[in-house]
Amino acid sequence: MSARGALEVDELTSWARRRDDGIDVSVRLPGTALPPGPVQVRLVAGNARRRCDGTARADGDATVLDFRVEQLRLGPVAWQISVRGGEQDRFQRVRARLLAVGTQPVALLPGPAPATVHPAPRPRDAQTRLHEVVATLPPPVRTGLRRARDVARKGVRTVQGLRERSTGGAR
Amino acid sequence: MQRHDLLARLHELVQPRTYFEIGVRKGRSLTLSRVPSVGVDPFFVLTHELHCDVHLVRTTSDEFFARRHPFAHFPEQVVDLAFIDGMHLAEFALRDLINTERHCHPASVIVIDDMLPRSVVEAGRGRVGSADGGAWAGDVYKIIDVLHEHRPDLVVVELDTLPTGTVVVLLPDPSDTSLAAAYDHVVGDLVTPDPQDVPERVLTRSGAMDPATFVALPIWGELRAARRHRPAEARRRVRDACAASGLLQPPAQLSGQAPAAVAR
Repeated sequence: MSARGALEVDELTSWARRRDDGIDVSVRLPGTALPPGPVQVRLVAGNARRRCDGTARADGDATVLDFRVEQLRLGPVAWQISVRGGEQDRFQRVRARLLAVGTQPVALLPGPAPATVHPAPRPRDAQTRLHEVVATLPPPVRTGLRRARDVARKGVRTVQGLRERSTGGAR
Repeated sequence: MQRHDLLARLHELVQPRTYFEIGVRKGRSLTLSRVPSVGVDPFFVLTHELHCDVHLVRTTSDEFFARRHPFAHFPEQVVDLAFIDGMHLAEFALRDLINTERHCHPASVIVIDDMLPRSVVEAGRGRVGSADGGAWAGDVYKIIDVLHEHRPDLVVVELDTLPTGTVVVLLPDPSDTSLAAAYDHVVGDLVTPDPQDVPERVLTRSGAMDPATFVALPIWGELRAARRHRPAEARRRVRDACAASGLLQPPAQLSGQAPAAVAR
């Protein structure tokens, strides 16, 4: 079990793959002794939750958790896996996530989820057809166009500033 | 030749407009890039300075590719040069290749590291080799056979680089989904317990080309020029250049002697 209480996953023997209209998942949990038999598996991504039935079986000092997710598409987010033996038990986090996006192979992601302090930055603005055309022009022409654009922007800002001053900044 | 020397030469020869890297770690290979770049690694710890306009993404490569516009950072959302050095397990590397190819052009170049382990220990899925202070290649080498079987249209060149060998993939086809379709069938065969049954051809590198010979091939100018063309025409041009350089021969014939174009 990891420091945060999640069940460790053996990344070398665990896997997930599509079959028919669903996803088969097999997760080996070393050093975990779940009672063999049926288990409940919970998948969580943000506020979304999915549940499916699975089975636990002993494999030496490990437990192998097998389950199937019937819905093929789970969306472009990784789903945190949790498991419990029965209705009375609490779900225990498994240190693995499941990612199934239509256009790419299904992936079981063992280990801790990478974390960043701040959200991802907004991507750069998409390039328009105008950008592509300008990119084909000779560098001196591009420089001239850039200067003209900057002058125009400055003019717009000046006019906006004058307008805000005349209205006291009110909108 | 060290793998980073090969990568540096490929930057010079390919002159990519964009560079993509999976497995940034300390930034030792990303520091070679001077063009708009995207680097993906869930746990990068940079110790090298970077000299490029880079989007550094702290996530797994699978999650990165699941984004709506993963290469929004690039002026044109096409990868010209890619270096795959992520998780050293065959199923992860195969997914990285499948997902990277979707964002390529026929003139793109994909480099995959750790493809030629020198021993069974180095080829283990467990990190036994690295635990002893040695290199860990993992079982990534398995995808060479997968590519030969499911994607004979790709030009797959094994290179005898240090320490753990490299494969360069040419002629990627973003519209080809056969590898993605085959993934679910082959992944069961890829995930096998250690020790791995590593083919002798891999251990001895008998199918690998000298990297110095490879970078001396007269294909790079044509490859750069092909970017200006639509995919079908670019494909024809790159394929012709590869054929003229002898790269379309089976790997065993490639390694024995320099291709005809080089011998000239």
